Amino acid sequence: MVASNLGTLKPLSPLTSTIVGLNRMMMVPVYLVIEDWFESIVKHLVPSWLYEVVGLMGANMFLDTDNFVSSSSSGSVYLMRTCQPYNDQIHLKTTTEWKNIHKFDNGEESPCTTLAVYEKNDIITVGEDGCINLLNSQSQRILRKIDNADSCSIHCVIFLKHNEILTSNLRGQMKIWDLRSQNDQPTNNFMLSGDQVTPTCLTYHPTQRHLLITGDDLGALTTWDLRHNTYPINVLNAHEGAISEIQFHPDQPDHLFSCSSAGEIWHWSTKAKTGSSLMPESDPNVWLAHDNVKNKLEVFTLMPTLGKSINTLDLSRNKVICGCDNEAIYLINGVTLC
Amino acid sequence: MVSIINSIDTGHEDMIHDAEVDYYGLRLATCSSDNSVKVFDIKSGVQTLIDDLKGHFGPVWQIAWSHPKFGNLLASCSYDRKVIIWKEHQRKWAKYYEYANHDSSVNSVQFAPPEFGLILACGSSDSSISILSYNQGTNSWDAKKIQNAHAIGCNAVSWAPAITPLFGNGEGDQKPQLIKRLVSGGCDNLVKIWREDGDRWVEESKLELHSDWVRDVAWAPSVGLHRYTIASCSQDRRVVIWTSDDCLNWHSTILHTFDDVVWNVSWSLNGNILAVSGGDNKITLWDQNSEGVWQCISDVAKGQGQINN
Amino acid sequence: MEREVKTFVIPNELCKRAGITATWLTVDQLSVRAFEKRNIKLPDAPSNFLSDTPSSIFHLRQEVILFHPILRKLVNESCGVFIAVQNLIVNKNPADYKVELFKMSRQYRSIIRACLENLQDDLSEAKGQEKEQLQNYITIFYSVECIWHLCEILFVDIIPGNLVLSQLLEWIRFHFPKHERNAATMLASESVNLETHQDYWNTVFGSLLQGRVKIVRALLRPHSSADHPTFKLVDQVLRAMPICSGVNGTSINEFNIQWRHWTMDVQSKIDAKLFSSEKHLDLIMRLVVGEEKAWIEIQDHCEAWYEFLAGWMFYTEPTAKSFELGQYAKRSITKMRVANNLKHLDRVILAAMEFDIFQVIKEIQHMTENGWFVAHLSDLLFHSSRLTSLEKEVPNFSAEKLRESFILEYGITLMGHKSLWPVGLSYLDHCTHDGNQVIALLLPRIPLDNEAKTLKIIREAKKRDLNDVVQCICKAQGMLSLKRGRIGNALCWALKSQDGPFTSYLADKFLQDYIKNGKLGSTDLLDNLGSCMLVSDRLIFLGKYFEFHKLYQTQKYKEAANLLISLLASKIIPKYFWYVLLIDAIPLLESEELLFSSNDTFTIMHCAEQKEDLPELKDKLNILKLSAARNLARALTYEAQNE
Repeated sequence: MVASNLGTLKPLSPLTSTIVGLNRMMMVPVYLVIEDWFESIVKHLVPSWLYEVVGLMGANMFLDTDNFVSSSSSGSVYLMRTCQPYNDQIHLKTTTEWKNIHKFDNGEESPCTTLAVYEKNDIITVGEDGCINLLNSQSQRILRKIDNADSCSIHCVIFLKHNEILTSNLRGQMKIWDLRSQNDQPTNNFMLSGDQVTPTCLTYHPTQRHLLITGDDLGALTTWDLRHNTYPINVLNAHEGAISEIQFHPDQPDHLFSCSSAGEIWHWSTKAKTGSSLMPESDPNVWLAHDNVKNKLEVFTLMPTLGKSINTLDLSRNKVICGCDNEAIYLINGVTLC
Repeated sequence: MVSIINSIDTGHEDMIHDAEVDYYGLRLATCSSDNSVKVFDIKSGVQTLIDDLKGHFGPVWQIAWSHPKFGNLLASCSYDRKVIIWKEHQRKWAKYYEYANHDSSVNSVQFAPPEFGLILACGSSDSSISILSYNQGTNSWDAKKIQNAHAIGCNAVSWAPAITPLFGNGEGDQKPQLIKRLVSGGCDNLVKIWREDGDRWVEESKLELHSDWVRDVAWAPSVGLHRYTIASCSQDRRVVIWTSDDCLNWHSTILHTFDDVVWNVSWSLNGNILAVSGGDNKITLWDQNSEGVWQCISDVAKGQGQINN
Repeated sequence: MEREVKTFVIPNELCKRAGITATWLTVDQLSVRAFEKRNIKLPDAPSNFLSDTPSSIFHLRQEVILFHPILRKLVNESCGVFIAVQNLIVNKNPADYKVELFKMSRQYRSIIRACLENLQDDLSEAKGQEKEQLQNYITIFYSVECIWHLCEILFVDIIPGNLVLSQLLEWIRFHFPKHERNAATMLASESVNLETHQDYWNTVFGSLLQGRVKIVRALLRPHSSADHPTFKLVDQVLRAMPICSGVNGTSINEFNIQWRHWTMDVQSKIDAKLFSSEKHLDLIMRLVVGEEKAWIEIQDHCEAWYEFLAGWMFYTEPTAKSFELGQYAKRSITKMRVANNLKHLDRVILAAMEFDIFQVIKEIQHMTENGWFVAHLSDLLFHSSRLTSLEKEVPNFSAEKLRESFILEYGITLMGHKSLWPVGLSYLDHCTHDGNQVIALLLPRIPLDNEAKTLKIIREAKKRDLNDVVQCICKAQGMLSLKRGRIGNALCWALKSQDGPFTSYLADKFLQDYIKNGKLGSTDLLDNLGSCMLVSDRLIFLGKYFEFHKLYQTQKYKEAANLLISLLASKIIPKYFWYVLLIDAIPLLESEELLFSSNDTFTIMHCAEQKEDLPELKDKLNILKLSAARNLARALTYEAQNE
């Protein structure tokens, strides 16, 4: 089912292969790429090497074109601004620092595993300490903190509405939280699967936000309809290895992109409806179908596998960018979206 | 080029007798003639003293870290005839267990490979070797003693790696039984191999070659080959490499005869390089070339007048 | 293999006085410190070295230049090619992949060249020590590329008819690019008296030696005396120089005849002193006919003996076969009188030209680039079947072992780096002998900085079926969670690796904490244990006991009572927990609603009797017995009424 190579690899530097190199200030090439090709945000675009330089490790998310939030494995969260005072040099400036907002009871720093942003200001961070923090880019204060929100480490978080978030933990337990409620209990919780599988990423459908897809440690994509959550709608065994990230195309939600620790990067698109006039138009969103989802989708590999984990991806229009464990970032241009 | 990547001021007031890093290389423990044991965080390349462990009343000879799957325990042995096992709680170490059943200085402590569980071997000048095993069910330590292991005294102990014997071939899914073994060296000029047999420890082999006290023994980590390798060094100025396929028949090779007493031998993590520290104030590194011959690859010499700071 | 022993000095006063000892730390670090030669009989007193200056410990490591950011790119990119080579070998037979291997070799070289470019770029901005360091890297990798290129020509490429000259010239041209660059600048200047340029004749001779006859002619044309008959004659002669067009026997013979005719013709012109008016032109002519004296004169123009060699071969032995290269190389060295002054690079090049692959490999081990070169080149040579042929020549030599030892060492080096370890794994994966054992040894030693990394390490272990490693890492991570006061998370890690004993240990902790403070922790976890609780009886008990609590709290007393009875009847109650269960029974026995049947009550009473010696139960025993008796009465009455 994996079909031809759609994308063309475009070299980003005049090199033997398509690798954007490591510069001393590693954030720079990353950002240049974003600025040149993307209006949207690049999240998680931080393979482990970045932290060596800037001391960052976890997730990165842009609030707008200039500001982004970054989480660290030392439990601190930084609001950073990119500025370009001289020629081509782009500099990063920390504008707000929420220091050690994740830590363990014994005083050790806790890694902040990931974060999510809503609109331009609201930021949610979660950590291995099982704690949830609500921050606002305009304030140094922690607006709301749920200590011990989970007895296991929280690995994913996503905003469902501006006052509602969904978290998932190390063993695949998903919880929905109402941020307005002062009660430190989730409004709902359900399991990814019975087998202690760790979810590795979450995303929702750009136009149908009740449609949620989780990717997990074993390479499966699980679709949920949050209107009736407790059970998944369907489970697709997709990648070899863990899924690192999944994203719907923001403008063309018929297209989904996923990448994995086995070095695969895939483009999923809804099959063109052949003879659809004869078929009764059922649910227009194939992801919500209960069975045979695979038959309704086509999957293309975007890049020959490099045998190293692809840790993150982002997209804009017909361009896909991904960061890989070989300390390189790849840009795939001209992805067909129709 | 070799470079000093870290130089750690221990703050010990007297000679350091042992310095060991934990399993991940993130923490360093040191012990000294000043009776103390110190633990440092060396994670980021800068040393931070975490704790100064006071509990011994004599020079502390050797320390050992347990495998992280047992939490980070630390064992120390001293001239005061005691072995102390320390446990960390909120970055402070407290006495977890004290073993005082030796009649003379305890010279060597070594944790067994983690596959065997939480077990510690201690070699003492009272000529015996103790084996302390932790029992999780009863949360207690159980001690067994090999009496008269080495006349006059035992200087060093070292565990055999947990390797599955070749002959336990894969019929069925049953895991072949791992056999616990350790090697010791002592003032009787002997190197001895001990094997656990039921609830006793028996002498399996006695390796005779050295003509003076055996100062250190080190069982090499085994990579690939189902072959056992031990290095021993002695006051007779020799380092001997012992090899065996079955732990019964041992073949000896004299690595080198040095100019002075050889005090310590240490195998690299994957067992391919042996570091030898001698009384000639030199540390020499040895590896085996493609023809199987041991050769010196490098040496680290003492100060020799080039003293900065 | 004889190796030079290198000595490093530890700069420490105490070490100097007392002596030193060393212990291995991690894969590549050695810990060195002062050491007191102490006899057991020495009294327990402060040593002779007691002082105010604290004793230090030194951690040494062989410097790994490959961890420099620019070189890391080389490491990562070459890993891609390495994997491609291994995949190639798996799928095809040797005859098919020869051409492919040549392509891979070129890919490796283009990676080195890209790396050199990057180093050059950074060099222009660097200062001081950093500049020196970059310069050093450039020198190293320049040599690496130079040797690789030659080895590629001689050992990997399939040269038609073994006519090695054109490849050799290409190699020389790449490594001595000065003349080409100068020629290009001069020609571009469109000057009419080019000879005024200070490098003019140097460039002419340089180009001549590299066999670039067309460029020589082009350079002679803008000479102010270009119209002079001598110049015209030289141009004519050079234009007429025969070119070898084919590789088969006939075309070579034909070429040789043409060549002989042409040189005889030139020689006669020299003898007729047709060029003697222009000494440079005269020298050119004497060189092209291979006059000994002329080649001695030209020596100073050559930066290296192999530059001389290539030029000399071009004009005197144009159809030399590759296996003759060694003898010509030696001859050049003698002629250049550098035999006693051969540097490392010279020695390797000579060894390669003599087809002494064993020597080449020996030498390139010491290029201070941490084994990158020797690992990749010997792998390539191995797959080109160049090493296996050595097995016949060298006793006790195994090509496969040699290849593996280099790759293993290189892989281990990378395993020591915090972000390159996945690359290291790729290399160890291709060591059939010891690779997996080394992985099993090193993988669990990677520090568990955060759970994402732990999961990643575990995935790598699982991929290789290293189940013991998986369990060991899960347990280490679990112990870490426990230390951090996250017992729920610890349990989660225990369950991930199906570690029964560890799970039981943690379940005990839960229960003991409950005894201590009356609260069951991590309820969100206990509520969702599902089938994974089957790993350990203790966990099953914990799960069931939590369920009992839940039923009790939601006032489902009947169900709670039933569960309690089934627990009492089971064999999974921890000794220390018996009394808790029995005390829990009291309020249920006393409940207004009848919850226990007479049989149930007998069970409770029976248990109470058996456990009445428990000290914790002492003050509750009477109440329990009383409640049970009362309940029994109620139950019997009820049962009688409803019979």
